[in-house]
Amino acid sequence: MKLDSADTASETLPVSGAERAARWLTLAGAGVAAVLVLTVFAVVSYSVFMRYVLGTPVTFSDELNGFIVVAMVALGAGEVLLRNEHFGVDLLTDRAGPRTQWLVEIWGMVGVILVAGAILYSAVRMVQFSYDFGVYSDGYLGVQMWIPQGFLLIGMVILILAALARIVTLLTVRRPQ
Amino acid sequence: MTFLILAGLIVILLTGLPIFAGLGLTSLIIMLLTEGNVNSAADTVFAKLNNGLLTAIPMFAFMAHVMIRAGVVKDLYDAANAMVGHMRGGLGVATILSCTIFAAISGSSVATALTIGSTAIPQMRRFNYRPSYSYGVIAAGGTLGILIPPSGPLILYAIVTEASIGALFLAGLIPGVMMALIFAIWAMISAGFSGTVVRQPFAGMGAVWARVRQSIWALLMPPVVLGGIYLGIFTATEAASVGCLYALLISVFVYRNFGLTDLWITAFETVRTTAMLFMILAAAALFGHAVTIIRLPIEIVEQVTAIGLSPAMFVVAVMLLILVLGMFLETISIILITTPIVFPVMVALGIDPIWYGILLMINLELALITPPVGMNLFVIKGIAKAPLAEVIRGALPYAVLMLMGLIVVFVFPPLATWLPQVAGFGR
Repeated sequence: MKLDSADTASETLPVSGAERAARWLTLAGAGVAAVLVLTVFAVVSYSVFMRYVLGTPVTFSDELNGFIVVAMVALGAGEVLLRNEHFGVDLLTDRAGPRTQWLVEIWGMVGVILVAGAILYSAVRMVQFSYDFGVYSDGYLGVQMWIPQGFLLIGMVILILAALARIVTLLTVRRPQ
Repeated sequence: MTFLILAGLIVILLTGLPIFAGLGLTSLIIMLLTEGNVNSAADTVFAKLNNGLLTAIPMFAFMAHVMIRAGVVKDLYDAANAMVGHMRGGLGVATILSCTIFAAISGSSVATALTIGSTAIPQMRRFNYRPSYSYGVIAAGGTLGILIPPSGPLILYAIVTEASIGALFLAGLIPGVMMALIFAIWAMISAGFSGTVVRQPFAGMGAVWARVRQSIWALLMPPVVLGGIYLGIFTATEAASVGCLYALLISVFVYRNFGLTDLWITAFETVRTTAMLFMILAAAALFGHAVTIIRLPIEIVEQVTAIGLSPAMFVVAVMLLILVLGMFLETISIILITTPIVFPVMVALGIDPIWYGILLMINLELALITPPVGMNLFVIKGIAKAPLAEVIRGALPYAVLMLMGLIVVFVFPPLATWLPQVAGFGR
């Protein structure tokens, strides 16, 4: 687990207007995800209190936490991308010249768009199916499944926009070597 | 086929893609080639992430972020130094001891190396320890984070294999302490290699007690968090949540340096850690799905059976493969890439997943300090602003020690399996 909080160099580098706009979006997504972290903490603590102090276990906490994990990851992924914090193997690319590094960065963003695009495409189908057929979760909450599934869809949209914005930066902004 | 897929994956990763994107792209290509579409991608990702058990990881990360922000590390280090600083190579041994304790708080090797390293390196510089000696001690001590519970990678392994998190945590305890002892002994021996044995005077029992009292709240954290799991009272998620509450209470009421802004920042940092980690998990779910479509695990089982490979030989072969992968990939990716392929074979061959899990963790500890891609090496290079070659030189003897530790646990499986059995896990 990466636990350091040091800001990455990319934050001090000049960025395009598109990336600045995307950054608001990713920060908003990550902000909601941070609230969800505190929510999980509250839900599990409440569940522990109810189970061990009052002897009445809470039935919905695992199901709710599962949905929250999906939302937390999907909404936070874009912010991690713009902070350059997704792990990558830079063994070969690190030694390349500036031009190759630039190409590698663009390729990295294209790869993210391809994967997030594929997940988005199938997420649209998944959400549509759950909505059309009125699929409910089979736990105690009985939530309409398109709602938690929708977070995956929103998260992939944010991730794609973040990657596109970074490409705009790479194509239009001259960065110091 | 296995070789082709792994080779293809490594080539894609070497192009510099984020690991989740490289893993996802490889999986999507396999899905397109076999199923002709990627319609099941979102279902696979959603099914993997929609798991309440996974919340243990962000909760442990949150707990660690709170403890780091509250500044418990300096107290821990001072207490360890007061206890063992007077020994030969005292600061080295104190660093290993601090890493061992902090590993039981953070669950992360990188966090352990980063936080203890930031405190230990200036101290060791002050006492004229050889730079490579200091770097080696911290690099090795930091790796204990993934072996000594609570360990993020162990939780992920447990989730992928559906093994008991409590059993794995207990299984990591003896090998973790064993590795810490081996590192400490080597730190004492190698302290004299430069011709000067660095010692500090013993401050006296009064000073030791004062330091321990000062850090008592941090020292009590591992028993509070892990005790509940070991006694079978709490699930890992519940224990993590209790740990968070404990961390918040001591940060607010004992250290008195934690406000609402800090709460928000730590929650935000937890999101970044979680999203980075779980995006790889999501892509690994796609990878697991893709290799299952092409019947890769079944194919391996058939091949292993055909060539008459014994379970032990299979484990040796996998460990060698992971040793190589460890030079290029970081720990989480290795767990998530190899386990979906290896686990069905392990089940078919009757290999104990708890024992294998601990072997895997020791091997991954090795991955953290083996070049060219060793996360702890980079962390120390970053903190110390030192040449990578010097960090590697310092870490190399510890890599050999880890290899020895791996062999010892391989030859004596009860080192990993005895405690969970005694505690009643798996009966």
